[in-house]
Amino acid sequence: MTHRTRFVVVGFALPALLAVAALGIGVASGPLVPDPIATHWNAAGTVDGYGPLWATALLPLVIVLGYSVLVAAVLRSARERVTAIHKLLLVTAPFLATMVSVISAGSVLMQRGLERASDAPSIVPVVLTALAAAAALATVSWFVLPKASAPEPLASEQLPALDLTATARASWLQHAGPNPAIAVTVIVLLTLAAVVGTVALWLAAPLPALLVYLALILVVLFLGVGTLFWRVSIDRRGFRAVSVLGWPKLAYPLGEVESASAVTVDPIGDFGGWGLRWAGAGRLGVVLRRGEAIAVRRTNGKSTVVTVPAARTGAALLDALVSSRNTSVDRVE
Amino acid sequence: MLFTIDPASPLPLFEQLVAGIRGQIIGGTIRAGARLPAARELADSLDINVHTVLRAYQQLRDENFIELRRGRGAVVTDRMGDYAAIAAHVRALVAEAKKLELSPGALSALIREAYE
Repeated sequence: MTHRTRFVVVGFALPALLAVAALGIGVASGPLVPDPIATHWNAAGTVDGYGPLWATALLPLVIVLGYSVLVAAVLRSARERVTAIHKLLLVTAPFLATMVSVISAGSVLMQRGLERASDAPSIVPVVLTALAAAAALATVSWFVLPKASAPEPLASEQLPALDLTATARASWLQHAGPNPAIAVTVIVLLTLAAVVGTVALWLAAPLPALLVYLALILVVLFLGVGTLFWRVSIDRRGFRAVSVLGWPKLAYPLGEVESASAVTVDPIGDFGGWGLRWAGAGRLGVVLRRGEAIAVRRTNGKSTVVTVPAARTGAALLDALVSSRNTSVDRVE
Repeated sequence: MLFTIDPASPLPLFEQLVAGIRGQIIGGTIRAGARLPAARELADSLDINVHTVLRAYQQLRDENFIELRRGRGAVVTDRMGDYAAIAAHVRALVAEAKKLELSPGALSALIREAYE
């Protein structure tokens, strides 16, 4: 099997197969289960919600189809090299598919032959089975996927030479943000979710639920804007990346900076996504879009990567400032 | 965007800022529509008086290189389309001057004379 085939099998074929199987079991059980069937259980394990059979039978397929968008994005990012992050993201597809398919099919199967849906037994054994099966399948999928390539240092580029006199003072200031098309898409989707959800809750739920929902939307908006729009500055104060909201804020005085370089970042492959991210081994990222970024290596061994336009100039200045500071510090000592 | 000043230079600080920003706009490093940093931000970064930065921005506005808008700050205008030809001439001129081993100062003096 080629690499590509393995990806397609794990990310698309397997989940689809599971969802279709759940659908099949649901349809086949039509005449054998009560109508409506039990669809929700409370914490004690007794039935407290009912619904049509078709909804339970169809849900896994809807979820799998929706999730395939994420899978497609991961696959596209993994075209040139496969990182452990790619694999981790990808095995969530069979995990999720197994969970929803087993729970869907299990909840239908256990209601076969029942007179009333309220007699359905607890869903807990089904959920535990689903969990075990999902974990097993995800693990197997991991090993079916190609080996991840060893993490290589991000592609580094030659820095331009800066023409600075001994007495000159220089600053590099730049705004950093996501691809405008993506920003617009996210805003539109968020607004849609806000409007649709608000209307639905207004019509069908008590007021506290609506208020909680609106509060959640606001929190997501705040966090989204706060982690996607930044101002980066490099000057005598060191390296700073500050969100337009003032927080989060990353500030490294020159004394804490070992060196700086310009690198190329692939958001999904290197950091698993966008925003303020942690990639393990002391690597922090402000990842707003694919492309050029400044990588700051700190004296404590950790590194921070910030995607920003004109990264080469910024990195060149930071490197120059650190060098000249070290020279003058050595002279004093 | 890179901003450089030299306190040791005889030119006033705000003039150095104007020259630096103007040069980057003409050279294309700073494009039309780009937003210059807020005056306070740039002043803190370079450790100079905010009024120095404001004066530089005002001069650039008077020369039509930027627009000062409420809320948006300093935005680079599009007039550089007109100056693309000049940038090419400047490069040719400098190449000629280098052939004749003319210093930048001497070339600037020649240009200033030609203005009169």
